[in-house]
Amino acid sequence: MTYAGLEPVLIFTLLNVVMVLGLYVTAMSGQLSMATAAIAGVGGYASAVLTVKFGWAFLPAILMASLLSALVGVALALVTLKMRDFILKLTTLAFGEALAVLAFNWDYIGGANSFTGIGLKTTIWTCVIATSVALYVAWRFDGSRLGFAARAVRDDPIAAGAMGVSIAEVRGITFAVGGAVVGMGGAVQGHYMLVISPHELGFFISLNFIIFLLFGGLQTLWGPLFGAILLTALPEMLRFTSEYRLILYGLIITLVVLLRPNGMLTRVPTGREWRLFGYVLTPARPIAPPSAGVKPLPVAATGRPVGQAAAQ
Amino acid sequence: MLLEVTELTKRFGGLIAVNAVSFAVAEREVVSIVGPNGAGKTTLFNVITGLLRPEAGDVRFDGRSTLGVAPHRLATMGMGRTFQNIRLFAHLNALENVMIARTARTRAGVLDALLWRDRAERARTVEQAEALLDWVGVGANRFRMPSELPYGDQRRVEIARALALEPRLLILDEPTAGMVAREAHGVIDLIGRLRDGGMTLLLIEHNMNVVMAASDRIVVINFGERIAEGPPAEIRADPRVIEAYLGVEE
Ligand SMILES: Nc1ncnc2c1ncn2[C@@H]1O[C@H](COP(=O)(O)OP(=O)(O)O)[C@@H](O)[C@H]1O
Ligand SMILES: [Mg+2]
Repeated sequence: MTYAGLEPVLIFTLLNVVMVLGLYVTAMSGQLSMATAAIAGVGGYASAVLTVKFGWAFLPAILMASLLSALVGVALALVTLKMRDFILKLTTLAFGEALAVLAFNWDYIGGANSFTGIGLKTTIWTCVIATSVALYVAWRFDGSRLGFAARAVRDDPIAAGAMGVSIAEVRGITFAVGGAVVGMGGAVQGHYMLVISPHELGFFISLNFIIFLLFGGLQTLWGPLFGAILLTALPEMLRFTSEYRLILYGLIITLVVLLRPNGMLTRVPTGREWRLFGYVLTPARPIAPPSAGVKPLPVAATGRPVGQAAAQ
Repeated sequence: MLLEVTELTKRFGGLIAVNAVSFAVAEREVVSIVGPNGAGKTTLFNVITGLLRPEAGDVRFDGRSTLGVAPHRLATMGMGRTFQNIRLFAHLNALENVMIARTARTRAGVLDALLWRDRAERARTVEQAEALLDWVGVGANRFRMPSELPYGDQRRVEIARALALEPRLLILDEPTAGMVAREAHGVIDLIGRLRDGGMTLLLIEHNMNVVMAASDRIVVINFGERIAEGPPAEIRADPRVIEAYLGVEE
């Protein structure tokens, strides 16, 4: 395959990575959103309108598109704050479909005829940069104070609340950060496709990202990265058996879900060693020797300085 | 009084799980709630920590009413707790479990994380969590996942996690429930060290020897009602308590 033939595949792979990393961050607090494509659409339409109708430059348009998508993400977080399981997924789905219907009926952004005439601004390098930004944001958030608070909320919202974590704050933040990343992806994609139609906001596009995430594993950001790359590239690699392509694709996903229900990759917890095929990549932190003797409580009991309580 | 519970009532449909219960906990005091299974002890704790809304009565923490205050706010105000059926975060290891309770005591936001301005704070959080795990005796196992730890160690991690909040009041719901004798002794020893460290404790515990030895005051609950309250010696001799706990002795 020549590079010219390969470039679209590369671009779509990178764009999918951006979207799935945004979904990964969104899902960190336990709410698996089914509106990823709709949030991406918000970014795409916003950037299209800003560049075409208002003459904005590409970069500020992307940043504004990101910001708007983050705000829409927060709105979704607020709507679904108290919801769980089936109702939650249904509501995120309905939220996405509502945005699609809105786009369909809003003539200013093209309505059913799509938004056309978007300027070609995106190159492979734009996608490389967008992917790097998405990776950096996801990676920094992943290991941050709020990233861990989000994981706690996902594992057990009641225990997280009892430990002082605000569920509303954490969910708002993951939806905002995830929405910003997805919106950036949508904006960049718009300037490659040059057309945005309301259909691209639909649930079936979102479902792809969910499959990438669940396939790769949602405990570590390397999971969705791996999932998006493999599952975007795999159908291309399997071209030669085009008739059976979808069946094979489905079979691989089913096998993974059955054999590794937590996804292909799992997280390495703090202090543990990183391993690849049995090789230790980074050493674990040393195990502490058991402490000897009676020590004072290492936190201030009843709000007094450490040591004072034990002295009385 | 650090905690004041007045005439607290909680119903589940027709069942009155907690019926006009009053008691108080002073700073540095160890108060135990005892009573048969189903007496309403856990429900009482869940109302105090804001997980359930009472139908009547009031809970005051440090002089302020806690009714309608979200659980995470009460935790931040200094109410630390453990759960009768241990509730550790299953996908975080022991160290990270304890670090979670520092969330409310630290500041770093998204921007700080993006700009690498959170490293000093995180290093301190790790240090504090490690010191706490060491103090409860799980230091060597701090990188293990909850499912990889024996039951007694899981409870120790849960106590370390509650301590990381720097609680003014530590609420323990049956900390030795379901433990073999050796594990239970370890946790009881830990409760003694908390008491000696000046921690204010509100405790549900079934082992009467422990309750008698560790408590300043005991509140006895049966069928949701407080039937007795007093220092251990008084409770031991109270005929209503003997009846509720041991059945009427003929
Ligand atoms: N969420 C609930 N819904 C309905 N009934 C409940 C609920 N929680 C507890 N109960 C009932 O309230 C009573 C008190 O339970 P609980 O507080 O757990 O008792 P204890 O902790 O003293 O063993 C029991 O009869 C129990 O079945
Ligand atoms: Mg109970």
